Amino acid sequence: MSPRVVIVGGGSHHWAPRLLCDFANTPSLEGADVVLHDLDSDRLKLMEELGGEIASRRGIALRTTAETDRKQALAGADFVITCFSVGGFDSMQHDIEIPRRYGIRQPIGDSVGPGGLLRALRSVPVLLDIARDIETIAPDAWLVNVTNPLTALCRSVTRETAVKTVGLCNEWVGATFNLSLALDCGMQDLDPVLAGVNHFPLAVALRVNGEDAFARLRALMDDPERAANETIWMDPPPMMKWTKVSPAPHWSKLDVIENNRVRFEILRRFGVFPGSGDHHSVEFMPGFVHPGNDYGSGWRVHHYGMEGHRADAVADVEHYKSVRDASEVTRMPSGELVATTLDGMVTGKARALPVNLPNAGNVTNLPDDSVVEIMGIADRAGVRGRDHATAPGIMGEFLRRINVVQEWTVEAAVSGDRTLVLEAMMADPMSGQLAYDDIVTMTDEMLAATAAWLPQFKAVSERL
Amino acid sequence: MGPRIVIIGGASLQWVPKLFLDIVNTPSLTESEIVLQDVNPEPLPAMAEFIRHVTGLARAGITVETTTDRRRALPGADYVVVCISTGAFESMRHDLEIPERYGIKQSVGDTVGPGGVMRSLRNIPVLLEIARDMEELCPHAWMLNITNPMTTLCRAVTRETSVKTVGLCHEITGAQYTLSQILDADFRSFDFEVVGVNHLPLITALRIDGEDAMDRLREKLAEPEKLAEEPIYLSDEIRRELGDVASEFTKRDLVTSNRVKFALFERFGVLPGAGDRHLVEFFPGFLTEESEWGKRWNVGLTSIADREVWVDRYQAEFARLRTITEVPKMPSGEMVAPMIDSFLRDKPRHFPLNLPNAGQCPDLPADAVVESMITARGDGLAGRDEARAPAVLTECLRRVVASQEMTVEAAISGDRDRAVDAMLLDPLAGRIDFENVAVMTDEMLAATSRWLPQFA
Repeated sequence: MSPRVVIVGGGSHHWAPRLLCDFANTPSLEGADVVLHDLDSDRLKLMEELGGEIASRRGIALRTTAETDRKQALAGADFVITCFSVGGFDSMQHDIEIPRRYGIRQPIGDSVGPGGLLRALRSVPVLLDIARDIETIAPDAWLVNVTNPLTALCRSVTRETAVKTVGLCNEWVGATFNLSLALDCGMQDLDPVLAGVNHFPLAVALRVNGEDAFARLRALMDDPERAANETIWMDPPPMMKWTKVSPAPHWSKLDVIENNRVRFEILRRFGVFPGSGDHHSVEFMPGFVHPGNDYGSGWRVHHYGMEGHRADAVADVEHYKSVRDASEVTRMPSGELVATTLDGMVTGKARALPVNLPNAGNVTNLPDDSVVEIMGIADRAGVRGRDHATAPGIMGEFLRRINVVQEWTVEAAVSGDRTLVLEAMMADPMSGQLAYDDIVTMTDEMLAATAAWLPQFKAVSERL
Repeated sequence: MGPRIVIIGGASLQWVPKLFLDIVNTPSLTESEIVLQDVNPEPLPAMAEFIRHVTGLARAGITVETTTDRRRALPGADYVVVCISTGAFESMRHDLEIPERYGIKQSVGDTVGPGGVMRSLRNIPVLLEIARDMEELCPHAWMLNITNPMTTLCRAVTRETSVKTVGLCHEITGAQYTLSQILDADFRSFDFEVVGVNHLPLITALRIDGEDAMDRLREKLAEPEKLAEEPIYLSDEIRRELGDVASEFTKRDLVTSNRVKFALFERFGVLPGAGDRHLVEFFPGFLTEESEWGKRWNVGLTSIADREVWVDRYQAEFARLRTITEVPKMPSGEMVAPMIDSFLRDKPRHFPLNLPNAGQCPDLPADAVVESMITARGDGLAGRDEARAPAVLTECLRRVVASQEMTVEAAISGDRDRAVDAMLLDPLAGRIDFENVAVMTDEMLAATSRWLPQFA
């Protein structure tokens, strides 16, 4: 039977085209009943049409409908995918710009740090509303969350409701691409053991076709001359914004290392390979984006800033148009893991992939039930963690610290307690670096600037 | 016959005179056999002479011997007091000056932060040598450590040897003095519950004559104008020293000179029990450029020059003590003598002490060395309370503990990477840019390498 897949935020220019194409390319999902739900009915209409176009171009049974009523949309759902933003750039600009005035520059600002924290405060109540609807309307459905901050959002749902929840992120896919360039292997040849949280999942072990990949990567790092001579099997796509470093006319393995400097430094020094791009990793280790090193310029940390985020949004619209106007539906996978995960659950053919799930002893450094990013298995029984691993040395302590902040963030978002927000800010590796009184002022300022999207805090102050 | 008390660092002008005066004033200790051991033989005779002089004045039966040979001092010891410094100001200078070039200013530099880490690396091997000698020569003796960084030193000994070890620090006694002034309460009427590490002990319960006094303190602090009109009690001696300005001191001055302590108290509801200059090193948000490196919080940065002035003062005080004709009765506030007295007479007393965590701080890792209220009795030391701090401060403590555990590991292994790890985890040192943490650590290791044989 074809699954009913509800996409909350289904009008998203970023997500809808990618997910619909991936479904069309996945035999078990090409006949799916896709329900798009969004608050923006105009965009919803566009994406509904896109779904219809894709189905007719391919001649598949994929059925796409639009539904502006969330409860209607959820009825009978097997899977609910959540991709939304509360306040869009209007709210997000405060996440980036206010901390910047206090000396904090966040390369992205959507995971941890002051920006990630405020984003969680805005998004958690919305996701919990959705989850509570699922609890009553489609209690057996899986909630597949791709909204950031992934960890805090998934955690709020598993903490507050009984909904089966998994968070999916494409960062590890990016890591495998980079690694495949450095190791001359296919992306499918890599098998990691992950221990971490979203946007800071650490590969604590890595096999390439059964062999230890870390040893090979270390050898490569230790011999930059050789690395500079070894051509990589594919030139980096322009969207990766690499800098050519090696003197050779071709892109080389040295360029892979030099354009992932933070990752390789962490591997060299701490023996683990971060599964996220450097712009994410450094938000967890803010010593890499410090005024003392020009906010990471020497590490080639790319700062998105609001301009970068806006440019991405423009690119998403362009991408949507290219999908709409193409005569054929692309066969290229989007790199997102939603379709693969659903396929595993629908067909029962076990799929191993990185997932965000409540910790069940999978990351020994972190408390059970908090949400961790690990390798998981998706099959008929659902999604579950695959490995049990320990983050070694001080990386375990860094994870423990960030986990504490994330737990408090969820607590603050659920309770609407300003003091808890401040405490999470104090414990956060990025915002906690500020002068004591600045943390207090910055937190107040951020809460005030985004008050329109934080009804739960208003409710508390009114109660007082 | 009295106990045999060995003092390692027995020529210390800062410690030995006051510890000895406490001993001579403690009836159970007036027959003690004191052994002063020091690597520097030169000042030992004067110290022994002082002890004999005062023993004579007190008509006590204390004996004193001196030696530079630790293995001759230890056999038969009941208590081994350790007050040492490895490299003294010559090494400490680097602890302060190198980090300053990387944008880290330390108010003390002997506990945590880059200075505290380095001091641990220098002192831990020495403490372990002492402890290993004790295991062999006086396995039943207690090690009473008053050397800094107290937490990491005690932890190294309890991690690596079977020696019974306790760390004693007077910071809470200082807080107790401040509180007794502000609250007009007898110094001896106070009782606390404490959770933390040395130099960051958090007073989670405060009682005067058994009654909760946290609200009383809160009320006092809420009326700063009133505090400005209330004089504080000063002893005649201090009045003489201060001269004319003595009468101008009010309770408000005590509050302004403990601003960090009371700011944290207001926010978190627990009272940090150490001096502000120690506290800010655990909360680097106070030691920032914006606060003029602590100035706005009335925290000064103690320099080596300041410390040299202190040494002059110790010397002058010692010169005066050598010629006294009457034994001063004022207790020093140090806990060495009263604690030994509790052991000997099985008289239970409660002290804030540094011991491995056996549940007295349930939110901190087991076996890490923590500071909490401990009952001393004939059969030794045991945790009294299960103290818990608010979440944020507990998390601060956990982070410090993680850094301290790594510091101990670095000191024992002599592994440079572990030293960098400890710095990265440290709240002060880990605050600078990533690459400089390693560069600064290398520079500090190189500058003090002659005191760091394990890293050779």
